Amino acid sequence: MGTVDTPSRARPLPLAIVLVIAYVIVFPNRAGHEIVVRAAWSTSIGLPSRLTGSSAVVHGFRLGDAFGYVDPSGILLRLEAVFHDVAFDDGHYANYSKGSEAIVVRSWDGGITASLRGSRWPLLLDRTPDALMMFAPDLLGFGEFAMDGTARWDRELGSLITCYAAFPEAVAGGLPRCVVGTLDGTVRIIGRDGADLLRVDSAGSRIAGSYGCAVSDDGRLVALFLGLDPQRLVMLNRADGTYRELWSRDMAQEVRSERIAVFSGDSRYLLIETGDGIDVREARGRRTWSVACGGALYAVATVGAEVVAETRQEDGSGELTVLVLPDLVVGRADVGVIAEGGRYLAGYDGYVLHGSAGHIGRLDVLRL
Amino acid sequence: MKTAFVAAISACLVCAPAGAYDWPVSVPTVVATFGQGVGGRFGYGVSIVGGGTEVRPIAGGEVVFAYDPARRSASVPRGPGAQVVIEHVERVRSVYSHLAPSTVTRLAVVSGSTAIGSIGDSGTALGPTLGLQVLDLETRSFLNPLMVLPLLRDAQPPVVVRTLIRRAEAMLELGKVGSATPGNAEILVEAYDLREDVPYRWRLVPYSFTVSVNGRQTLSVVFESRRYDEARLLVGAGRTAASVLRDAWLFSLGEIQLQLGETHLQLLVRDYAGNESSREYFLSIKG
Repeated sequence: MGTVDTPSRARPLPLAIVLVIAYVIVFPNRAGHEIVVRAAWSTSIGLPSRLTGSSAVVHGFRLGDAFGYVDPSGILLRLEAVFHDVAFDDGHYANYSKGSEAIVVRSWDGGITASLRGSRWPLLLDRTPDALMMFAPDLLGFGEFAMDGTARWDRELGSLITCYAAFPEAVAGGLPRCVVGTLDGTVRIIGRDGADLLRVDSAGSRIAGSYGCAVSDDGRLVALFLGLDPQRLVMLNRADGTYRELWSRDMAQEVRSERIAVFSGDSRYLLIETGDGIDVREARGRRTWSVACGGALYAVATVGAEVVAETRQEDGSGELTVLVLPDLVVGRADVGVIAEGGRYLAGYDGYVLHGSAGHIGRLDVLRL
Repeated sequence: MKTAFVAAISACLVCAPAGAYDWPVSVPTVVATFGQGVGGRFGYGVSIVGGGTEVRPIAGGEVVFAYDPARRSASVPRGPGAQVVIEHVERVRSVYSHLAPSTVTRLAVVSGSTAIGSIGDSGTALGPTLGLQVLDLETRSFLNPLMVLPLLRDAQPPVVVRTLIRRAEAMLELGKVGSATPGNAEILVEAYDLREDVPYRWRLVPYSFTVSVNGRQTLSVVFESRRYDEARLLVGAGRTAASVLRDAWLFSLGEIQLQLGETHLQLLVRDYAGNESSREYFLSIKG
């Protein structure tokens, strides 16, 4: 665990150690704006580290066997070794080992927030400081727990959880808590009290299963991937306080794992993993665009109307693609060979944090 | 008796003719059986040791779900680790957990001889262990893998540590007490199974417990399968797993009615190979 000493400052620009090409791309998009992608800073991650400092805004990250917090200007504020895995958001973390009998939740600066007994593994609810989700080690059940350890609700689903997405916390209007899909092809929208608000199944497909889910930032749209042969994409829309099917499509490519799918920040588009890139679909319409990327999609981060996608080739090399929705590629960057688990991507307002090969950095995506 | 019992178990291969499924590793060393869980949770499958050992499916089929942390991120903390799920004919699925990352198959269809991964320690596994579960989609049940896979022979009978009856808050150990008062009494047994092929004293959950009172079978708990939407063992008694597994190796078999007079209790504990351990107790029930 890092201790207080001196701040670690970011170097102004990487010398292509991590981002092989740190370049500025200027492209006019359809609306006439220029998009500038700029590597703002990069800092190396090396344990052990002695750090200090504080900031009003901090961003959590995980990179291989390390995790920590950095401020938007690149000052590394905290760096720790991961025990077995770590659940974190931009304010708290829970670093836990395999045989943990208790989960300790700490604020980003290390102060203990809560200690919860039990052998479950945590998932922090983003920007919800008073509760977290805890998943059974066999993934047959999960629940929402308050920070004092009491279960607000606890469900046994009887089938392996294959996908999960949380509804945004800050949106008013009594949104549900989460969407969860299980191996038997059932997807549940679960309310704040833990009860099912809606159940959808993969009837109509030869093989039952749930293969991914996503919730839009406004909480009004839910995308589900159900079944095999065919694998269907079902879009649910919130109307009159309930969710109903808006449309469904059979997927041309089937994915037999949890499929990456992310709504754009404005909820207009759904970005979907394909074998060699991304499909961009209108969330409420019928149009689809295919964007070829270098390799299989590994992570997607939205930055306003722009998207940064990380892909991975078979040889382990990675590439970042910057995309102006729906299909205008405005930049690509080779990020070198990615070690197992040694990558990170998260989107913020106007920039992404990207980690690879022992470095964490910031890419600004600017609309001029 | 033992031969007949083994034949009965073989005849109970659910949803497949005898011999349709085979062990996923060449030499299966089972270190946890159906019912034996971690952290107080019911174990829905078996655990097999053998770090690095190649894993094959119990039968050919279609890969319906796979997760490899070396290639994919996940939306939840995945305790089962690297995992493959295969669907076989007659809507039976097998689940392989804690595989070594980077070894998970990318195939969509596999035969019984296809390597689908290697035994690893991903997820919650504290050592190299394969977790194997078998699901029956028609009955929505977790099947005991030992009921559908070829019999693992061993000659070691289960160990019965003690048998207890609980009356109100009092716990009496049978064999050390000779009398009791009439009324309802819960029967609890502390017992475990051992196997010869595990070179250390590794406890396993036995296959079944039976209690006969005055010659009539009264209580029975059989670790056969478990419906996953009703949270109960398929023993015909409608009991939940939590009500059976009271503590590590302490099993509640149910309640009997103690009536005035002499009572003869017979306990029979069986393992999957048909080995039996029995105990007899005589109680005077006095008002």
